[in-house]
Formats: sequence, structure tokens, C-alpha cells
Amino acid sequence: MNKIPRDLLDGWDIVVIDDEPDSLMVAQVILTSYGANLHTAEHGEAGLQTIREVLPKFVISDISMPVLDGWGVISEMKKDAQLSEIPAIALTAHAMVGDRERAITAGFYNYLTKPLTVETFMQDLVNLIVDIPVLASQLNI
Amino acid sequence: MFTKLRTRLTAIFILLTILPMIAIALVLGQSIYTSSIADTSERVGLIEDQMAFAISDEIDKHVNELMVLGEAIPFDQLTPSQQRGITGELLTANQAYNNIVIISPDGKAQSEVALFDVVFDNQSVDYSQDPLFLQTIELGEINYSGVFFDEVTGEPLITFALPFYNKRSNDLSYVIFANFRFRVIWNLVATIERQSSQNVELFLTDPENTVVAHANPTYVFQKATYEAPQGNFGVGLGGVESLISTRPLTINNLQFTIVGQEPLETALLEAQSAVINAIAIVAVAAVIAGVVVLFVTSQIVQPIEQLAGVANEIRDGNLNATADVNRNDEIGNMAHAFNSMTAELRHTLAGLEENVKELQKARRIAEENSRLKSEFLAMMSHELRTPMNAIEGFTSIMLNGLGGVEFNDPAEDFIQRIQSNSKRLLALINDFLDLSRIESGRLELSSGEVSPKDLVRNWENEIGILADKKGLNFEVTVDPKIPNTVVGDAEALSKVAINLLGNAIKFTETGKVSLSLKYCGDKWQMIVADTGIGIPPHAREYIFDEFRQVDQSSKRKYGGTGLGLAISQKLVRAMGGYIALESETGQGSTFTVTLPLNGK
Repeated sequence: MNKIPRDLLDGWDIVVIDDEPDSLMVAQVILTSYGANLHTAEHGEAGLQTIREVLPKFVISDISMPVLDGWGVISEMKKDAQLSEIPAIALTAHAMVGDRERAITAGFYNYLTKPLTVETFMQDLVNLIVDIPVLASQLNI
Repeated sequence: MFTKLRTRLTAIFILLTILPMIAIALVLGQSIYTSSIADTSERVGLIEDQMAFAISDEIDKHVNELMVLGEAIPFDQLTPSQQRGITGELLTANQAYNNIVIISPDGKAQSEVALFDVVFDNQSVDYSQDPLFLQTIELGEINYSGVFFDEVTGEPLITFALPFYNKRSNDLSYVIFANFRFRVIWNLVATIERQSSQNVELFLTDPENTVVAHANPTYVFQKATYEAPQGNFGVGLGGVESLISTRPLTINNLQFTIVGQEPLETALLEAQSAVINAIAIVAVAAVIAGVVVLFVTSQIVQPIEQLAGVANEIRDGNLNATADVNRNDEIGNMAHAFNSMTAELRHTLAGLEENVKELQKARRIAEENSRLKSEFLAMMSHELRTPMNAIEGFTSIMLNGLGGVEFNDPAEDFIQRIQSNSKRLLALINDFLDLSRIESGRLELSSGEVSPKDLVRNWENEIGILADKKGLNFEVTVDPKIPNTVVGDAEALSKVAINLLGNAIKFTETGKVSLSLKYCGDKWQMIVADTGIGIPPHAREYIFDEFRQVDQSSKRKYGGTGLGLAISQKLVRAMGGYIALESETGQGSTFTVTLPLNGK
């Protein structure tokens, strides 16, 4: 944990979409602790709007949500030329086998499993980001 | 051909009735035929007897006539002309003689009268060397010649030779030679033939088979011969196939054969009609028997066919079909049994339909329940996890001092306890949900290419930390022959491996835990071995069951949900593989997972 510098995501606009306020808050606290400018939305519809406004470095989206779910979000993003290149990471509840493939097939870059804890979330996130060339170069490591 | 009951029964009845009738007809016809022929022969025989008597009588009559004449008249004391007067009177009176000669004992003819000839006295003929004359005087009694034909008239004649003696001296006085005309016998034959009711042709043959008497004199004049055949049948006189009957006739030294012939055409008429009658009776009987056979067969077979028809109807779904048989015999009983069986069937089927409806209803309910259960589980998982996730997130934030949180030592200790308990609770929930998902058949395994080496590296990282914490050696060996990629589901494989390795660490206090990947043919193996407490033999049977550990005390001591092995085994099976277990109590356990290289 200590290896990850607190300014890792300094100044990065990140959009997190989740219908659970507590879950959203956990993500917010952790990510802002590492310097990110966090933008949150409580469902896919609002999330898409925020994404269009902010054009974040990346998006983290829950899958099951009211109004528009995670599958809807990624599908809309892929249709929009402006958004299609923004990496999106799926946030799933306890993953069952097969979920990962489904998420990647749908267009997510990868997926993270709840619960979001400081230890696993940041480590997994860094592991993902270093694999994304457009972002890896910008990391403050 | 004989597969049908109707055909078989008909055949059997015909064999039993009509064949014996035909046999009887044949035997009857034969016996009627022979007896009829015998009757005819007998009747002809009677006529022949009658004829034999008549001929004998006739000849006797004429012999007597001559005898009386010869006794009454002393011809030796008369002149030839006186003799001729008397014999001539006899000759013309009955026309039975061709000529009559009076012969003196020395064989000289004294007088002769002839019916168609003029005889002169001085033309005396010498009979002294005549065999008949010599024979007659030697015998001293009446004697007959054989049949001979008169040279002038062509008629057959017989000479009656009668010797007369002086009553006092017993010396031969004279001999009368009378040539009897067989024409008399013909007339007799014709009369008898006419009087008989039979269409019979009668005639007389002499020992030389010459026909000497016949109603039709032509045969006689032609000197026809006829030899009767052996037996009853043959070609008759005149060349017609006939029934022939013969009878011998003997008068003193005269021998004849009476022949009666009746053309087969008429002789067999009666026999034939008798046979035809017999055949007709049998034919009528056979036709009646045939009709009876068909009727009886129909009586037997028709209800059976009807039953079969009803059975077919029932088979085709018409359970209301009933066999309509009003009989009190076995077939009637069968029909009744059949009907009651059908009724029972109807009843049972109605019950069955009711049961099926109930079962369908129960199944719908069960399916609905199952669906509700799945939905409930999905909802519960979400609802249970959401607060847990929040607890996990916030405790980790606090423990990491993020968000500007600060607290003293006891608070940190408490929060750490909250965290470890919430982890346990979450693990339990996750295991429980995994299992329910697998069991409800909603497990969808992917079959992408995965790198065993990469997987092992991940597991090594994760388990290495735990092994270090407990001070155990963790050894990893990978068979160099393992392919770079195998087909499988990375997450499922990881779940199994992490579970087995986690258990190994958990149940091992000292020694080592090892993971090795082995290549064997079209399969590969994941072998997890430890030097832990081992699994006692009795527990190996249920160790893969849900919620089972070796025993309750072990559960309390080591914790865990008791679902890990169950989930692992189900996942391995779903991937087309199997898990084998070797263990020695106190020495350790080895779990070997064998999987196909190319997926299931």
C-alpha cells in the first residue's frame, strides 16, 4: 500500500457510477485520497451525462443499476466516437465465473470485484492501469 | 393362409364333416353298385332257370309224345305206307320234327316222313353202321345226337333215337329216329325273353360254342359261335359290352349252355342311378354341412372379431366402446370381462388424468418455487453483500487512515476485529451463493485459452503470503511438458486451486504445502499436497459434501464454511475433470485435480 504514492492519480478526472451511495462513497474516499477529481453518478443515464461533460481518464461503472445498467453504459459509450476510447472498468458484485468474459466482450477494459477495500482496490486498479498504454504513461509512479 | 381363426376352424370342420361324408359316399356307392350288379345277375339267372326248365319240359314233352306213340302203335306190324300215315300225321300236327324214320332192328329204314322233302319207300337207308343207332341199341334206351345242321334248310336239329322192344320176348322191335327242330326252342327263348321285364338277350350254345337257339334266328343260321367270358362282364354276342350270365343245361347226354346278356348301358342303369343318388345325397349333406360350418364358425369367430374391433377402437382412444355380445357362453364371459376391464380402464384413466393434472399443477408450483428461490437468492445475495461491501470498504478506509480518520489503539483493534468478521461473513455468503448458482444450473463456464503458468504465478502470490504468515514452506513445481495454454475457465480454475491451497495451509501447522502441475497425455493435473493433520478414512466419503468438515470440533477449531470442497468438486466436474484424494491421518493430504487439456 505504501508503495502506491498518494499523488498517483493527481488531477485525474474519474467518473464512478454506482446506485449504492455507500459504495460510491468508499470509491470516492479511496480515489480522492490518491489525488483524483472524482465525479459520481447514481445510475447509468446520469453517468453517461457526466462522462460527456467531464471526458474522464477512465470510468468505473457498477453493472446492476436502475434506469440504465452497466451494460447500457458501455454500449452507449461504444456508440459515441468521443467516448469510445475512454477506458471503462466494470464494477461487479461478487464475481461468478464467466462474468469477466462477459464484461470484456461487452466492451469493458476489465473488471473489479466488490467489496472495494483500500488494499485490493488500489492494487487491482494500478495493475489494470499499467496495462492501458494511454494511461500508464501518465501515471505518477 | 391358416393364420386366421376363421379359416382354421372352417378347415377343421370341413375335415371333420365333409371328408367322412365323401368317404361314406364312396363306400356306399361301391356297395350299391356291386349289389345292384349282383341283383341284375340274379334276375337274369332266374330267367335262365326258367328257360332251362322250359327247354327241358319241351324236350321231355316231345320225347314222351314219341314214346307214347311208339308204345301204342306196333310199327313193326304195319306197312311202310301205314307207318308214314301215322308219323306224317305227327309231323304235320306240331311241326316239331324235320323228319321221322322207322328203322328195323337190322338197321334198315322201313319208312321215313319229312316235313320239307319227299321220301320214297324204296330209297331205304341203312342205319346199321350209324353210330347213334348202334349206341342206342346197345344202351337199350332213349338216346340223343349232338346238334347238327340240316343240309337243306340250314336249321339246327337233334335226333331223338327211341328203341322199342317186344313185351313178351324183349327182342328189339324197331327204332324211331326223330329229328327235332331247334326252331321250337327258339320260339321258347323268344317267348321267355318277351315275357321277362329285363332287357336281356337269351341264347343257347352247344359244347362247341355254336349258337343253337336265339330269338333272332339269323345268328343260328350263320352258325355264330360264342364263348362266354370269365366273370360278369365282357363283349356279348353282337359285339356290345354286356353283363354276361351263364347257366349249364344238361338233358341226359345233351349238354348246353344258356347265356343271358344284358348291355351294360341298361344293366348298369340301376347301379349308376343308385350311385348318383348316393352322391347327390352326400353332396346335399355336404352343402348343408358347409353352411352349418360357416354358420358355426361365424358364431364363434364373429364375436371374437367384434371384440378385436372394440379393442382396436379402445386403442385408438375411444374408451366408451363396448363389446355388444349377448351370449351366456365362454365368449359371452370374455366379452363381459372385456367390458368390465374397459370400464376399469376408464376409471383408472380418469384417476390417472386427475393425477397427471395434480402432478402438472405440483410441477408448476415446484417450478415457480424454484424460480422464486433463485430470484430470492439473487436478491438476497445483492442485499446481503451491499451492506457488507460498505462495511468492508469503510473499515479498510479507516484502517488505512484515509479520509482524515484517526483513532486510538483499542479502536483500531476493534475495527480490525470488525474487518476480519465481515470478511468471514462475506466469504460465507459468497460460497453459499456460488453453490446455489452451481446447483440451480446457472453456472456458465467459459472455455477460453488460459496459461497455466500465469495462473500458478497468481496463486503463488496469493498463497505465498498465507504460507509465510504460518511459517510453512510453499513449493511450486510445473512440469515443463505442460503446454503454454490449455482450454478452460481461469476463474473456475483459480477458485478450485485457491480453495485447495487455502485448505492445505489452514490444516497444516508445520512442514510444507506444495502445488505441482503435471502433464499426462491429453490431460493435465493440479496436485496440492500438505503435511497437515490429514483426513481420517471415514471422513473421506463425505469430505466433498456441503457443510462437512472432518467433525464439528474441527469446524470450530479451523473455521470455514464447509462449502469450499463441495464447490471445488462441482466446478471440476463441470470442467470435465475429477478430484482424487489421498490422505494419511497425521501425515498429510494430497488432492489431485485431473482436467482435460482441451476443455470438456
